[in-house]
Amino acid sequence: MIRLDLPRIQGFVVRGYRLPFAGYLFLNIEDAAAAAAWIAEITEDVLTAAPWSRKPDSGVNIAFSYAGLCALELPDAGLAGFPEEFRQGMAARAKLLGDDGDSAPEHWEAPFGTPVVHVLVMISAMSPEALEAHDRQLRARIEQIQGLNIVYDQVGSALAGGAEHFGYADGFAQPSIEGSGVPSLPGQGAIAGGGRWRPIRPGEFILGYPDEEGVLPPAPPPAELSTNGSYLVYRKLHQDTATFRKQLAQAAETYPGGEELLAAKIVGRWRDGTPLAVSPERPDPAIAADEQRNNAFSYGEDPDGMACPVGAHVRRANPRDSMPFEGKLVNRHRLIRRGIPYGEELPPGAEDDGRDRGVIFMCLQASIARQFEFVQSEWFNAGNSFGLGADQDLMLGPQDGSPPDAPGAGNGSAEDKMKMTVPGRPPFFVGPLSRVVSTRGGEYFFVPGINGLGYLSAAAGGGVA
Amino acid sequence: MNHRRNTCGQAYALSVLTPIRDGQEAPLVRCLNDLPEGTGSPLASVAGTHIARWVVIGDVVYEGAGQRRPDHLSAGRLLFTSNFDGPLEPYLQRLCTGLAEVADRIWGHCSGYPGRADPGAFAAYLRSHQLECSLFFAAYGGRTVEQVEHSLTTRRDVIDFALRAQRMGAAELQSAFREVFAA
Repeated sequence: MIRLDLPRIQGFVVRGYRLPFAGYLFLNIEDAAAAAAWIAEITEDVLTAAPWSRKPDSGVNIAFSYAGLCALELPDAGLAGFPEEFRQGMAARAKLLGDDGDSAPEHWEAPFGTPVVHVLVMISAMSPEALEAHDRQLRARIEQIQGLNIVYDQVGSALAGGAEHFGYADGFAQPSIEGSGVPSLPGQGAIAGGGRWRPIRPGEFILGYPDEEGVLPPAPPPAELSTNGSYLVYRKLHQDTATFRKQLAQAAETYPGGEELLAAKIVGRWRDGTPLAVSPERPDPAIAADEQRNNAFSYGEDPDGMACPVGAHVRRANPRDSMPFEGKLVNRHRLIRRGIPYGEELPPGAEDDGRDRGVIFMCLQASIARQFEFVQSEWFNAGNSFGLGADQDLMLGPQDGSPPDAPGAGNGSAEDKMKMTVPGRPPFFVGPLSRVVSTRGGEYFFVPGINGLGYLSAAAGGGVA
Repeated sequence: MNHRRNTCGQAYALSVLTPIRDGQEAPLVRCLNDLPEGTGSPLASVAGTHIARWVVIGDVVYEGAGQRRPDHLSAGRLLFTSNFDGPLEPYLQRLCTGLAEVADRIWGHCSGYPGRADPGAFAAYLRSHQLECSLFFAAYGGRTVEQVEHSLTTRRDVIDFALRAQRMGAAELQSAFREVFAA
């Protein structure tokens, strides 16, 4: 049994705080030595994964982009040891991620997509007052430091009932991690055969521990920098709620099961979170509220997706046992999700009000390329893994049609007009679809362990040879 | 070389690992990054190719705390893998002519590459650096590229029709089906 060094792992890596308010500060480093001193100082404030005696009112976590690590003037061997996708940063990966059209980096909010974004400071809080107090204290300190500047900020807060802007309860499925000390819930881990689940090996998310292959994940040297660290993807995703509702209502006019069933087929859960795989006929608030049951399901009995469509959002995100090789292909592509909505809710039935709303999507993993990028490009933005041709995830897919050089493309084929396939007798096609979620900015970050923060503050500015 | 291990149905898996010459890794990466994609890809001119790619392996990765001493390659390696409609020999010829000067631009960064002027020497170079597959699985091992493309086109036609037919009544559906799929 693996034991994680919890007091030296940042807390949000291992546990979701379930704190309803969040603030994000993005910093630029001009002076490595000044930043190093500040890192040593803020490390005291960082919430770790050590068990709490009492839930805090607010907490801080911190992460660094590759440009940020360069600005800290780390030794070359350490910098070169970071994986390619992290060194390139999110904007350079736009094509792979489907960040084109409205989502293209040239339309991102400044300064995303530029090497100016160095440090991400995340504040989680129980109340707006606690958030404001912690935010004010951090800003006051940063403003005193020459060579460290806040270049962007963002706030988020949970919506009523824990839903996201399209009206679905969110945040059910999270991988449970071996050795984390967080109790494991049914359906949260890896498939262990015979309908059982086991926690996922920590090296899928945290550097310095064995992963699902039984080896340590690639990590930059020295071990003091990387052990207990993780990689964080931050994406500001705008949700076009009015268009989503319109597409759903239009399709539902001819869908025999009605609008709410179709809404559930799109996601794989009813609006209240009841899994279709557990209750395909109707939502069941008792199941949705029961953490022993609201994620305890698999798709083995439903290979054709008659209950939960193969292309439903949650089934794409985590196909569970519907892939061959007893979950081995799925267990290498899991994500710890941390995120929170931003913006005001669009009232029911309202036309688009032009206001910005969406979700701050964040996920943690040991390999951004193998985990986030794979899930986004292969499972959300394509259909091939699931035998779905050119279908993309209705929510996250760019809905930009198949490449113009695909066989038979460009003749006004329906596959150039995007759709979602809802299996049934007969099957039902939702579409034509247009993009309802667009990227407004984002970056890849490294989340050092407490040991890694110590290393950074000592090594910055050439402090360690 | 046990060619049977490189075969799945009629599909053949070629894996070639060649050492990169000193100082040539960065230019090679640039050269590969600059290759056009889609129908303009040089691999599109090599008939019978299902999936192929070049990968630069600069060095082995550092595995963190558990690794006792650093490991390094004596030289970077270029990996070329291709799944194609077999057998091997005619494909090596098609690579030589299909890739044309791109073959020299790429493998020219590798030690011992003889160039493509002599197709026999070109093929012998790739063969001499060929690795035997430990496992080869082809999704459509029984189908040639041409057959797969034909199936994809049929699939599109059927989906086109299904989308168009979603709101049709029985009689209209039957006549539309006959019209589209009569042949």
